[in-house]
Amino acid sequence: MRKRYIAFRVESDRSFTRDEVVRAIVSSALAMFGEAKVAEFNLFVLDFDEAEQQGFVVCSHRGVTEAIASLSLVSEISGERVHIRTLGVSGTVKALKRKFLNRKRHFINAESTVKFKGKEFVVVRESGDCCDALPCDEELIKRLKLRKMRFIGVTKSDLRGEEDAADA
Amino acid sequence: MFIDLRVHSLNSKGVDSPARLLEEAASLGIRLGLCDGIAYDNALSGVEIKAESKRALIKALRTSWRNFDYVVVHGGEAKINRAATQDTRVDILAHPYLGRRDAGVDVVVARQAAQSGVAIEVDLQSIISAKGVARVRQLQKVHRILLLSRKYGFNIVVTSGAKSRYELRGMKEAEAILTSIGFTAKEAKRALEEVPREILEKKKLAKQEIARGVRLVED
Repeated sequence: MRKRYIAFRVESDRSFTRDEVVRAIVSSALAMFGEAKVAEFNLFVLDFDEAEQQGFVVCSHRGVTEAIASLSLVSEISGERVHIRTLGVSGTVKALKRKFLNRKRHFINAESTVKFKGKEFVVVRESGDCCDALPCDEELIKRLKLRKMRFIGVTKSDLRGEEDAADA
Repeated sequence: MFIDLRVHSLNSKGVDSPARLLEEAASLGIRLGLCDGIAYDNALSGVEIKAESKRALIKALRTSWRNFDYVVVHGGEAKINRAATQDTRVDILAHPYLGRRDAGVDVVVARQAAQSGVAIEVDLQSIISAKGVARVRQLQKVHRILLLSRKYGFNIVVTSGAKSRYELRGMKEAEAILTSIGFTAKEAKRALEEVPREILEKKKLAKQEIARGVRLVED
C-alpha cells in the first residue's frame, strides 16, 4: 500500500498539546466517515510539534481527499476556534519536511494599547504584518465569545491608518 | 482559484479587519469577496440583503444593486427564497435552508433559479460547525440542493460563510470537503471557481447596461 504524508498547521488563539490535536483530528474523521472508512484510508497522526503547532498525518494514497477533509472539518479544539490548515501532501517524510514544514511562524508577544476604528485594543501578539488584539469594547467581546475566539485580527497597516487619521 | 464570495469582516458581523482577512486569503491562495455592504477599493465588495418581505427586497435591490460587485440575498424564509430567485438582479441566494427543516429549495425555486441565473449558495461553515445529528440534517439539505441542481440546472455557489480568519478554507480543503459529501470533482470545481467568476462577469456586464438590452461599450 502506497502512503501519503500530509503536513498541517494548527492556527488558533492559543497553543494545543499533541493529545488535544490528535483527539480532535481522529474524532473529526470518525464523525464524518465512520470507523470502517477511517480504517480503509488508514489515517494516523504521526507527528506534532507543540512549539510550532505543526505536524503531519499519514494515510493511504487513495484516502488523501478524505484525510484533508477530516483535517479541514475540525472547527474547534477544547472549546477554542481553530483552523487546521493543510500545508501540502508528499510521498515521503523527508520531502514533506523539506517542502512544507521548514517555514516557521513566529509570534512575538507584545503588549501595547492601540486605537482602531475609534475603539481601544490591546495588541497581544504579532507575526509579520498581522496582529492579534484584545478588544475593550463589550459588543466585540460578545462577538468573539460567540465565535469561540479571544482576539480580533488586524494588520499593522490598519493600526497605522488609524494613527494617520488621528494625526490628521 | 477558489473565489469565496460571502465573508464578513469586522465592519459587519465578523471579528477581523478586512485587511487581515485579505492577508489570510492571500496566504491560502484564494480570492475574497467581502460581503459587508461597503464598497471597498482593494477587494471584491458585496452586499447581503436581509428583507422581511418581497416588497422590502425589491426596494433594497433598487437602491443597492449597482453599487456592489455582487448582490446576496439572506435566504431561509420560503417567501424570500422564492422572491430572490425571481429577480435577475440577485446574484446569490444565501443559505436557503437557514432555520428550516427542509432545504428551502423546492421545484418552483429550482426552476426560477435556473431561469433567472440566480446561484444557490451552500456555505461550508454550516457543515463544519455542525456536529452529530445537526450535521446529518445539514448534509441532507445539501444533497437535496445538489439533486435539484442536477435536475433543473441552476448554479450552486460554495462559500465559506466565514466571520473570522479561522473559518476561511483553501481551494484544496474546500474541494476535499465537497467531494467527501457527494459533489463530483467537476461539480466542486464549478461551484468554487467557475460559478463565482461567472457571477462577477455577469454583474460587470449588467452594470454597463444603460437601458434594457443596451450596453455602453468602451473603446
